[in-house]
Order: sequence, then C-alpha cells, then structure tokens
Amino acid sequence: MKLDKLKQYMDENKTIQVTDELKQKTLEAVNNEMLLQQAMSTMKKEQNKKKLWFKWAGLAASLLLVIGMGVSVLFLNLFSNEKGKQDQNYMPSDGSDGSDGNATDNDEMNGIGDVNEGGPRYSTPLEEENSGYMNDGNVMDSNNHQVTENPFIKTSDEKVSTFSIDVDTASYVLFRRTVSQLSLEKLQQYKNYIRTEEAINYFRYNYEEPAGHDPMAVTTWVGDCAWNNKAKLAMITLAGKKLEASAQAGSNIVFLIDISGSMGSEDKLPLLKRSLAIAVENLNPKDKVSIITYASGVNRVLSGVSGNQKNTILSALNQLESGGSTAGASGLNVAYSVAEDYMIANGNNRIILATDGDFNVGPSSVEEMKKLVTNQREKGIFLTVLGFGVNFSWGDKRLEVLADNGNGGYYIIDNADEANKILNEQFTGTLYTIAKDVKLQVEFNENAVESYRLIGYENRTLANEDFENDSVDAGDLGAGQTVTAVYELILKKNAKEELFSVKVRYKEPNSQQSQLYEHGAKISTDLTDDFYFVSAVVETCLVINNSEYKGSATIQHAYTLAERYGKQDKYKIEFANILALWIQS
Amino acid sequence: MEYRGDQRDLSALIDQYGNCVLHTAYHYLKEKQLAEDVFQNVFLAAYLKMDTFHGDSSIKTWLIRITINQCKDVLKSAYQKQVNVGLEEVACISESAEQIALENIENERLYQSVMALKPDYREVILLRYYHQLAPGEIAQVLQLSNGTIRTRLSRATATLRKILT
Repeated sequence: MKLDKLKQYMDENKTIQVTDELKQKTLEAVNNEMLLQQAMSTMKKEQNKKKLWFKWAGLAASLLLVIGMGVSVLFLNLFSNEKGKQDQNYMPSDGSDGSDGNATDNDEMNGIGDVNEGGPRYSTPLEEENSGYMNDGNVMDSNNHQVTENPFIKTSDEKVSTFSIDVDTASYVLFRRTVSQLSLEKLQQYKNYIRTEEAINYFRYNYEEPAGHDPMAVTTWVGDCAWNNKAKLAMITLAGKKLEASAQAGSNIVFLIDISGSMGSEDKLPLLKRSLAIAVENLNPKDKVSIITYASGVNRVLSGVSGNQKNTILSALNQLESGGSTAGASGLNVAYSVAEDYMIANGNNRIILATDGDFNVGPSSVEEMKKLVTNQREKGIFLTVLGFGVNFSWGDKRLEVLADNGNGGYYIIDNADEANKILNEQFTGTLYTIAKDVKLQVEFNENAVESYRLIGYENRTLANEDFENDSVDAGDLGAGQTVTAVYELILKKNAKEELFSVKVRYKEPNSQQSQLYEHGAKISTDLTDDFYFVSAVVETCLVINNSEYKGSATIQHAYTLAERYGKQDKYKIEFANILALWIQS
Repeated sequence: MEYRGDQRDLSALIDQYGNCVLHTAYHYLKEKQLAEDVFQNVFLAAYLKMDTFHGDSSIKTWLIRITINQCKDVLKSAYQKQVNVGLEEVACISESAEQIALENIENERLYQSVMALKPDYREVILLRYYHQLAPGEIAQVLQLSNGTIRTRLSRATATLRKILT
C-alpha cells in the first residue's frame, strides 16, 4: 500500500485549484463584511456620541438657565433698590422691563445654539476615523454609485432623448435606512449617493389613470425650476392600469427563499416570514403557491398549493429556519422547474426570490443565471427580487441585474411598513406586470427648447435607435405603478410652440412585439401637488448628490415643498420629516 | 501574527493556504460549489478571528480546523447528507477504468478506498497523507488526544490494507 503516493495522485487527478476569481470573490466578501462591521460600529459610536451630546446640551442649558436666573435676580434687586434712578450700567440695552425674561430665553437659546453648532462637529473625528473606510469604500463606489450625471444637451446637437423606465425603489429605501446613521455632509461625500429616479418613483402619485383598454396613460407638465431660475422643469409621467388580482387568470408563485446562515438576524428571515405572510393574505383560490428554500442544499417545502390554503402556506413559512451556506444558483434552477410544473396559461407566472443578497456565485455564474432568467422570461416566467437586511453597501448589483432581466422589480424590505407597502398596498403592482420593456422617447422642439437635461435615469438611457429595437430590454411597469421622468429645460427666448412630444413603446406581458403609444395631449401648466412634491424630491437628491447642477437647491426649500404638498400620505410625510431633522441639526 | 485590517495579508494568506483549504473542503463535500462557499467562509472567519489565533498551532492546522468545522456544519443538513450519498455513488460508477491511465489504476483504487472509509478514518488518513500533518497536528485540528489520533490512524490503515489486499 503506497499511501505516500496518495497526495501526488490526488493533486494530479482529484482536486480543484483556487482560481483568481475565487480569490477575488473571497477578498470582496471579506471587504464587504469589514465595511459592514465598520459601518455598524460607526453607527454605535454616533449613537453614543449623540447620547453624550444630548447630556452635555442638557447640562449646558441648565447651567445657563441658572446663570440667567442669577443675573435676573441680581438685576431685579438692584433695580428695586435704586427705584426711580436710571442706572445705565444695569439697564438692558433695549430698555424694556420685560426683556429680563427674554434675555434669559435668548441666553438659553444661544447656549443650545452653540451646542447645536457643535453638533455636526462630532462627525469630524468620525470622518477621520473613517477616512480609510471612505477611501477604501470600494463597495460604495464599485457598485451603483459611480454614476455620471446627465449633462445639458443642446437640441441643435440632439433633439431626441430616449430612456427605459425604472420602477425600482431600492435606492430610496437604502437612503432612508442609512439617513439616521449618516449626516447630510457625509452622504454628500459619496458621489451620487441616491438615484433620483428611484427616489421619485418610490412615492405614489395621483396621475391620470388610463382610459379604456390602454395599459397606461401619459401626463406632462411644465413649471418653474426651483433651483435654476433660468430653467423650466418638465415632468413626464406614466400611470399603469390598475388590476384586480381576483379578476386575473391566477398567479403561479414560487417563493424561492434564502435560509442560509446569514439570514438569521431579525431583519432578515423573521421579517421575510412576516412579509411573505402579508403577500399570502392577498392570494386567491386560483393562485398556486410553491415554496423552495436554499441554503447548503435546495429543498421543496411546498409545491403548487392553492392560494386559499393559507394555513398550510403560513405554517410552512413559519417553520423555516436559517443555517448553512448559500447555493443560490441551484435554488433558482429548481424554482424554475417547479414554476414550469404549475404554469398557468396567460396567468402571472413568477418566482419571488427573497434573500439578503448573497448569492455566492462568481461572475461567470451570474452570466449563466442571467441567461437562465432571460430564457425563462421568454417562456413567461418572471422574476421578482425582495432584498432583506441588505447592507448599505448597496445590496447586490447582481440581484438587481437578475430582476431586470427577469421582468420583475428589485425591492428592498427593511421593516414591516415597507413589507406592507410592497406586498399589500402595492400587491398587484409588485406581482403583475402590465407592460414590459417600456421605453420613453422625448422629442424636443428645436424652435422652443435651447437645451435639456434628463435628471436621473443615468444608467437607463438608451440609444435613440434602440427605441424601435424590440430586442433591447427595458424596464417593466406593474399594475397601478407610476413612473416619473424630470427634465430641466432651457427655453429659447419667446418660445411659443409646443416644447416637446412623448412616445412610449412597450410590449404586452406575453408578447414579443412592441406597440407604440403616442401622447397627444397638450403639456399642462396647471400644476398639481404631485408636481411640487416631485420637485422637492429632485431638489433633495441634487443636494444629497452634491450635483454640479444643484444651483440654488436647498434642503430647507425642498422641505417647504415636501411638507406642503406631501400631506395625507405617510411615506411623503416621512420624507418631509427626514428633511426636517436635517434642518434642525 | 497580525493579518487583521490588511487585505494584502489576506491575499498572501489565500495564496499560501488557499489550496489547502479548498482541497480539504472539496474532500469533505465533494461538490465544487459547496467547497468554494466554504472556502470563502473560512477566510472570512479567519480574517475576523485572527486576533484569537494564539500561535499554539500552525496557521495551516488552524485553517484546516476552521474548514473542517464549517464542512461539518454543511454536512449536518439532512438534504446534504442525501445529496452526498448520491454523489458518492455516482462518483464510484462514473470513474471508468478506461479513463485512467494504467499506471494509475493502483492509485485510483487506493484513492477510492480512502474515500470509501468511514468519515472518522477518512479524515485522519487525508490529514496525515494528503495534508501531511504530524499526528500531533491532527490532534490539534480535530481537538482530540494524540492517543486517539494514533489509534484512529492505525485502525484506518489496517482497514485500508484489508480492502486493498
């Protein structure tokens, strides 16, 4: 027996080698984890410093109050002792009796003001601490943040602007999650932290709904641009037809759930279970539900159960536990095969992938998965991705790519409210695609418009010729979803003609051929609340992104608009509250 | 020995011990994808826990220990057990003698026999003859006594001898 030859033989015949790709992936994974840990410890430090700061602010205020009261008592004593005499040494400068209290109040306010001014200072040592993190923050920079803003384009150079719609909202959700941890100054240090179009499209608007059999309606507005008095703001809005889920042919939903070890924390698997339970409540008897889990292996938990067997589905969800590594790719394969088994003709056949973003596949596998997702999309099985506990290094670009190729959205769910928004309030929008590959083409009138700039949609712009090319993929519109695009326009002097016209191309969900929708209506200058709220969101994004086109944009002004025009909508109120917090600090 | 905080050191660590970790994982899990998953987790764990590495064993044995523990976690899953049985059977029948050069037949038999050993025995044989660890180091990796390792090694080799004669 030659056991000493075992090593040589196995090295030559029975083993695999570490590839550069695997090494790179590992380094990236470690880097991501370190960044996450640094961010978490930064958050803790900031919270501790805030606590300390409040303590000091309280102490300072009390001290000033005591001093102020002391001075007042002294002053009153002297004043009463020398009644009738005007002693200018002790008279307040404005000479009024009532100024004592005011002086005290002002002192106190000033005291707090001083501390407040010191507020932002607490971030300075933090920035120093994190300077390595900022500089090495490849995750922030290597994913979606390296976006170059669209420039102003002269209509004499190019009068047609084409882009794909985008209904993703992940960028705004991540912003909302991190805003309590990072100061505005800090956000501004990241180049293009927030995607303007995703922030705008996060909110619901009351756009005119489509009439008759039209799957969508287009509305356009032109009004003043709040941050550039030489420009006008043009808004082009799309509203998708609303659907009643119960009136549809039925949904064949395969939940593909990541139960790997990393899903253990409260904002992942436990929130995922609660979220999917919300979705299950909205299912109909016509619907079929399957649950596939993946961790180290892939497991079929439920196959093709009717949507009215809610208890069966909920108890299956409840029993999920996390553990093991992540075999996402094989999970996806199994999910597609189950979806094929329960295919509903003309129905909504969809995989809902729920994960924290770690799919554990290398770039080549992503390509393979993209191919798989695209092929299945052609067969009519779409893919929607729900991200749970995705860290603020922007989640996982790969998942977004999969959702984009799967004709489904990529949504980040960070709390129960967001779960309710995505899976209850907007259930049909999330799950039913009413038009796919939706492209917009805006043609500006050279006689009226000098130049234009599309705000946001930087990674969604298309070549003009791609508008009619049906093989070019574009964003998809869910039932009842709205999409808004904003242009900054520099008009020609005395422009009297119509400023622009809009064309939309889209495909029916089960068709490979696109249709043209031309918007014939006049551009409205009768501005609604929605116009102003969108303007506030854009203005905020310009400030956060430290845009070179931000002009006179301020958070203060954006807040005024958001607060005034965002009433009666809890998500808009929440946005205004974020701005208010910034103003107060 | 301070790797924490410096990616260049991690890169060097992977260069030096990467294959050792990957091979260990592959021998346990017999599936490339799973082995690569474990590989990533091992270096992540190593990077995060580097300050708990006391230097009372070599880095190699420390890494192998982390790898084996992670592999055992993966294998705990019932599904994985099922898959592994399947894979083992497939591996045995798919290795056709024709594909293997004649001079390798003996080695192939030896390899197949090692892989067919029960896990406790296979583990010590691979650590001893593939990773070429001394019995004392194997004891550190598996956190067992030297005596247990020596007994296991001798029983494992005896079993192998029986199979191969």
